[in-house]
Amino acid sequence: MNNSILFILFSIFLLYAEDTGNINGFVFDNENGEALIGANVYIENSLFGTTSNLNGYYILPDSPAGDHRLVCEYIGYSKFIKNVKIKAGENLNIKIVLKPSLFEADEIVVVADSLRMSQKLFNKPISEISLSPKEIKQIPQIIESDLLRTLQSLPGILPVSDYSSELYVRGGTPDQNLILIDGADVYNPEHAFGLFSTFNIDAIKDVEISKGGFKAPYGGRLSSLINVSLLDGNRKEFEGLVGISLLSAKATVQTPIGQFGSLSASFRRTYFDQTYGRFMDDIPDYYFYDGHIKAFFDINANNKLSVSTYWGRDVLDYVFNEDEEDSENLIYNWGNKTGSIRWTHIFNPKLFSNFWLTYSQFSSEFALADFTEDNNITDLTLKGQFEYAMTKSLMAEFGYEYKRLSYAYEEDFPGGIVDINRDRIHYVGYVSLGWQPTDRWKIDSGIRYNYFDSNVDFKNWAPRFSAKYRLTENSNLKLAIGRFHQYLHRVPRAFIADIWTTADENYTNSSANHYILGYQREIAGNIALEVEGYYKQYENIYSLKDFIVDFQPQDYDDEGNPIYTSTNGLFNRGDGNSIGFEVLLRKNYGPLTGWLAYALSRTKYSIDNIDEGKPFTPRHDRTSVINGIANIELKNLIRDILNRKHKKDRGNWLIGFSFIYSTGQPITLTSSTYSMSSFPDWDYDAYLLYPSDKNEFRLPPYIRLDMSINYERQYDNWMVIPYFQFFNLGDRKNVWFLNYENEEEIEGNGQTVIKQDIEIIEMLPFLPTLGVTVKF
Amino acid sequence: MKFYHLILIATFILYLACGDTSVDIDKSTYKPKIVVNGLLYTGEEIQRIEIMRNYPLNTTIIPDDKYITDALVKISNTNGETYTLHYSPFSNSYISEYNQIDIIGGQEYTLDVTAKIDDKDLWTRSSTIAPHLGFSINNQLSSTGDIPYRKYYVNGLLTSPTVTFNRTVGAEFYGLSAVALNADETTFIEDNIFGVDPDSLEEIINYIKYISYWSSPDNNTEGTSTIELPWYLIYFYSSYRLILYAGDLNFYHFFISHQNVMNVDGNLREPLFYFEGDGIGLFGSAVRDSVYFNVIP
Repeated sequence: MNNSILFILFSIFLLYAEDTGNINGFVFDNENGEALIGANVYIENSLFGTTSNLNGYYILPDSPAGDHRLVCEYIGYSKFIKNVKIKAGENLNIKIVLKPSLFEADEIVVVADSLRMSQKLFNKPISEISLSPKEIKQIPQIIESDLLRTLQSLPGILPVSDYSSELYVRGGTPDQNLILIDGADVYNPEHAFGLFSTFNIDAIKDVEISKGGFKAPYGGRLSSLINVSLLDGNRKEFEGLVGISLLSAKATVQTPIGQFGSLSASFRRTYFDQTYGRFMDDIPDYYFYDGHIKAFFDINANNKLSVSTYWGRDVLDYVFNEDEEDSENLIYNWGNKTGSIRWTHIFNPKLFSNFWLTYSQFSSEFALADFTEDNNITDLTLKGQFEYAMTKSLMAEFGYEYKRLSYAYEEDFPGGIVDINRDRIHYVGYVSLGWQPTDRWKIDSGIRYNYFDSNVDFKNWAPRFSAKYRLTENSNLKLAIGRFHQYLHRVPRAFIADIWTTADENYTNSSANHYILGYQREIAGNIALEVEGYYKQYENIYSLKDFIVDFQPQDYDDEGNPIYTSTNGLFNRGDGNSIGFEVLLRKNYGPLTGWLAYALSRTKYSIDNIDEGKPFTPRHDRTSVINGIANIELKNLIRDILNRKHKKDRGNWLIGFSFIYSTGQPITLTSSTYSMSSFPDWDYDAYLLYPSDKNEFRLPPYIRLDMSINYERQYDNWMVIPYFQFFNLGDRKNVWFLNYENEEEIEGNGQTVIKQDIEIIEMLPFLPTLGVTVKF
Repeated sequence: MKFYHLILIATFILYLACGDTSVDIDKSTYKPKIVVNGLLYTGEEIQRIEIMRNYPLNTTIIPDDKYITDALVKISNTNGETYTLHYSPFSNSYISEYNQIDIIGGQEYTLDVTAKIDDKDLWTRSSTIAPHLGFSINNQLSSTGDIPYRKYYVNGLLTSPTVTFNRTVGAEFYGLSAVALNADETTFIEDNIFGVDPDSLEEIINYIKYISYWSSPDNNTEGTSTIELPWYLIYFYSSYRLILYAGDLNFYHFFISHQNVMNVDGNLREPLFYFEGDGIGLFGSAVRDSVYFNVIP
């Protein structure tokens, strides 16, 4: 039996090997020499194609011998066409260099055919969305463009409030998102108490978002993947960008390093403390900064090396009484450092590999009066990833990961000490096979093995499966099923940094199953319709206890004060599920681009010790969400309306709109009030609140319209872009929560009465802002 | 025509995105509750069990009307002895007027209350295990007498007032109640640590006159512990009365949760009360001791 299978496989191999050759190479941007991720490469008049990977590498294995036209397409670039002659057994290395398109719409209108658009959709994994920095910049935001806030306008991705850049993906919580920056995990990627994310858009080359069902190479989180690639650097010439907004001043530079590579660097810093802060007493001494440096070395055709580092920090020093020399002050600073070394090696055209050594650290320090806190997590990872094009229809991906996690939390408070210090090791091995038996089918199946070395060892298999079927020439059907495991648990804290712990003897790992079914269709040549339904099950998710009363000390100091060294008693265990349906209409080309999306979803958690374990709706649940994003190139849109031909203008108006409507958030309200004192010897009774059932009510619907106006003006090699952003254009008073206050009044008859005042605490109001960016 | 459609859609979106929102407070969330405020003290008689009611939101409350005067209130111990408590209009509470009961450490006591609120018959029950005697403040090691504000040296070290006490077995926490007995605008410390403005005194006096602080040292062994009362909680040049309570689990959980029902994100959470039926509040037990000091300039 085994011999028969080997014989068949060998025959298939010979069949493909005889009259075929390989085409491989990299796809580059002509302007700056950057490798392009996700470019579609194919042989014309066939359905035989691929997309460039995260390094810009592509391979068309076992291409039929003969004369062909090799085609490459990428959004915003002119189509690449080259006549190639493939000889049997030959490896043909073709470097593809794409020129940015001057008039994207015209180019696409000329070359677009429905097959190719559907091919692009077919190539894309289910639940995955790519965003370019250009798109992100044009979407209006608070004060300046922000990556995570932009992602909140995609269907199935939600914020919990205007004050948070955290992402809740398809019912999951922010700790369930795997965020990678040049291959390194990022923990707590937040500036300004969560208002902004740590990523400077100007330093970003590409962002891939997967909302679920991702393949075996990725894991360790239950919900989503956000993969950020930083700029490699311009390999042709020096390029710079400086910008100033009401929030920060920033600069990004890129330069070639001789013939061997390139360098990019960016730096951003807020300047409130140096401007307003010098004149106004009430403004706390607060600032943040971040930066990155990345060097790319093109050693030879088969070896590339990139070294990347990112750092960012927020610093707050607030003095309560500046008139007093020994006044109490609040000190809080936090930030990330990441570093990665990636070696890309092509063993042979069919076997492509990447090896990473990554380092990531989040740390924070807090001090107020006699309370101090140090919070650290460090991640050192060694990983390798291989792509092997076995045959024209069979592609294997396999790899390994060794991750050393260290986390330390130290808190010193009156009457006790918390000192939790742990080291963990996570070993991962995976294999994934992509099989395309016919032009209509693509099947991926894989498995990921996790061994998490904690006080107790955890061993888990995570199978993944996805299938794509080309239903018609312009529509596809997709399916993905997968199991996901997470060994990190989070102590969430609003406005200050979360604390991370891991699975251990007290808390097992969390798991989730994803079931996703999708339908894609091309409409009118350049509009993609994507419809997805999903069901997610969560097992052993952990929720921080409302009151940490079971957190038992492991030791006591000489005075009998407790010393806590274990996480036991921190969390309640629970399960949950999310079910949803999303529709996305997206237009990527032309003077009007953007998307319109609708998401219908429902999430339920059942947490031990909360409402007797009965299912409840978490705060981030929204039944219906409508998102609309419109990016307009004004002059060409008017020409479009007037049926005139597009032109390239020296001055260009870019208008962006972002609209969101969502069902109100669930909330627990007050059901009644009563009065009591904290101690029986007090002759003062406070009026206290007693809550309703958990999240029994919903706030009014959340609605917001934002707008941005950019004016691009070209001066020879310079471009100046002044911009205006209008957040919450209609100044809608969206409700964040309600605050109740009891006020004591003395009436005319001298009697004291208590009257209640209910105050609506609002989300962010209308916020206009402006800035300018200069490119050179 | 295309442009006309765009303008129409944009106008509609703008309309949606404008304006105020309204939140209707649904009074149907209200459920009447028996509010209990009662502590038993080991070695002492039952002195004061307050039985009150709660109120729906948007209601004007007359403070003296909150007491329920005709409830049926009983306390029983593990020996099966049950005592009915009687309402005292002088203290607005229920007391053991006819049966003198001394609370014994280590014994469990159960409170049963039946009352009518808003024409509804309600019932509740709660139990507590009284901590053992043995707890006391060590006056010699604690701060007493006159203490200069933020210039208080002990053994040559600058410190804030401290209370040193002998722990007792069975106490889940030690709650410190400090009250400024002469708190008013004349005794207010203007150069206070947090820069609290004297103009806001009238509004906040109850928040700074009454101080609560707590600690949860080893509850399984006897020994000595110290609680330091930080200077940032002191706002008056006044005589301070400190009562330290060695409380049971009910008292501990009530203490840390009753005022702390709102999360940072504004959502509410249920306080840790231990009542069967329709009760909320506190029925717990403690041992107590007190000490005084004066804060001087």
